[in-house]
Amino acid sequence: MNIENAKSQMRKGMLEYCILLIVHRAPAYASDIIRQLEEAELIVVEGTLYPLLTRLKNDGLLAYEWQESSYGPPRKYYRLTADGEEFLNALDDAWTALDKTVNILRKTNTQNEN
Amino acid sequence: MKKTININLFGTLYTIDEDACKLLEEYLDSIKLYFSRQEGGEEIADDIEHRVAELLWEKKEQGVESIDLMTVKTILKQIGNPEEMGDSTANEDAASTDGTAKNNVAADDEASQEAKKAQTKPTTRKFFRDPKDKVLGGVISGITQYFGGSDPLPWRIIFIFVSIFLHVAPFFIIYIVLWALVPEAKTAEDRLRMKGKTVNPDTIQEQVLADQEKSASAETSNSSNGCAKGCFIATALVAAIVICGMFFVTSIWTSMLGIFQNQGFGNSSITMHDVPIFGVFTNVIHNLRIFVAIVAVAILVALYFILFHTSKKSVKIMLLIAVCFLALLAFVSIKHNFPKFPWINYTYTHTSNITRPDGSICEVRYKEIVNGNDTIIQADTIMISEPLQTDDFAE
Repeated sequence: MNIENAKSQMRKGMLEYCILLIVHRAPAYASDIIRQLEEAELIVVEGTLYPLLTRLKNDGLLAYEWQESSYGPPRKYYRLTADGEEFLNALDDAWTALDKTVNILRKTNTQNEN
Repeated sequence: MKKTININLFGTLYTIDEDACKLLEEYLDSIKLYFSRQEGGEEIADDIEHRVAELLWEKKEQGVESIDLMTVKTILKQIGNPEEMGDSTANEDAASTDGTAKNNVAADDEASQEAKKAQTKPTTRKFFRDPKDKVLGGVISGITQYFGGSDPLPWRIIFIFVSIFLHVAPFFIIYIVLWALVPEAKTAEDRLRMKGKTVNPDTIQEQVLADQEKSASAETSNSSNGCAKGCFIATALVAAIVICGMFFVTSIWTSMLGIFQNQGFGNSSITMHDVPIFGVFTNVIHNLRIFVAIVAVAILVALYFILFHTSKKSVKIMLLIAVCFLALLAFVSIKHNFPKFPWINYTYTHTSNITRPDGSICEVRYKEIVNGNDTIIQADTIMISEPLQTDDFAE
């Protein structure tokens, strides 16, 4: 397994959580989400997002409404549903736990090096 | 100079180069096809189309008057190919009802690793008909691709040779059945599978562009010749002349075989006549049924191509028909002029009328059966008319 592969695996696992985080902040349309994810270097090709959004919507975590745009074609604005909020909370907890574990591991590593 | 097309995407008009438009269409089609296999696929394809429209709109805002091939390529690269977008977690949903992130990630990891493996492994070949290189249904070219070949022409010739020399009907039926059952390689993905190439985003992009160029060059050659359906009668006439020419050439050729036979082997067969040209000619005519069938098929195929394909290709087909023609006539003439193939039985019959001394007329039917070096001659005598002067003898 090469480094790029490992990185993309990491990103993939994070993607769902990050999308929910972005949408939680404020309703967003796909290109918005893409821009923010690209800034965080979380996706390589834009197309990755669409199957994911559709699945989250079908699972009832997201809902959308169409809005006319003065800048280009009409947009789908996604927002979090109540189920989505719940789901996000669960993910938040999991992330905190994960973050903690990883940090502890890293800390012990740096301590050992010193 | 390039032609441009106006397209309407969600209520906005875009001016786009013809080749760029085709690439875009192929791309959107492949996306639709790819996602049609999963739930909510239509919606995903629609979303992606919206994204394309948005990116085109941005270009338009920037003052780009006409969208060219490069722009479309950049956009497609940005959005990515359907295989890159695969949502590998979709299948794992049912398994991880608990919804903890750890479960999800683990499952996701496994699934995507499997997907990766599948992606890097060269795909097993699949049998498709090749719509980009076909004479009738693209069956032979599909078979050629399946077995790793690239140019189906020799195999087409071999197929026709074999079917003529053995038996036309079963091969014809096999062909029709394959035509009906084997799917056409419609998308770039299918075409890659057909050739046994690895299916991944890069190769798909390559394939789409290669097809693009191919169809573009085919179109230019078509427009330069410019008479696909318009001058039907003229092309039909040309076809008739070509076929007559082929007939002439083949009759000369077979007559040369006849001369060779007369000089080399003294024992001329019964059906050989004094003048070799006409002699062989009559032999050929004896097989009138096959002959007429072949000519009819040739004319039909030729007309089909003149009507529906570029003329460059129909020339190729004419050549193919000519070769088959030669093969058939060679076979027929060899069969008659060199009767001693050890593996084939030949039967010659001829009749002659004999007047007997008593005035009765008999028909004698000779049957000569040649098998290898053995020749069996059978003769049957049939009386046609009674002796004339029976009364005289009685008196």
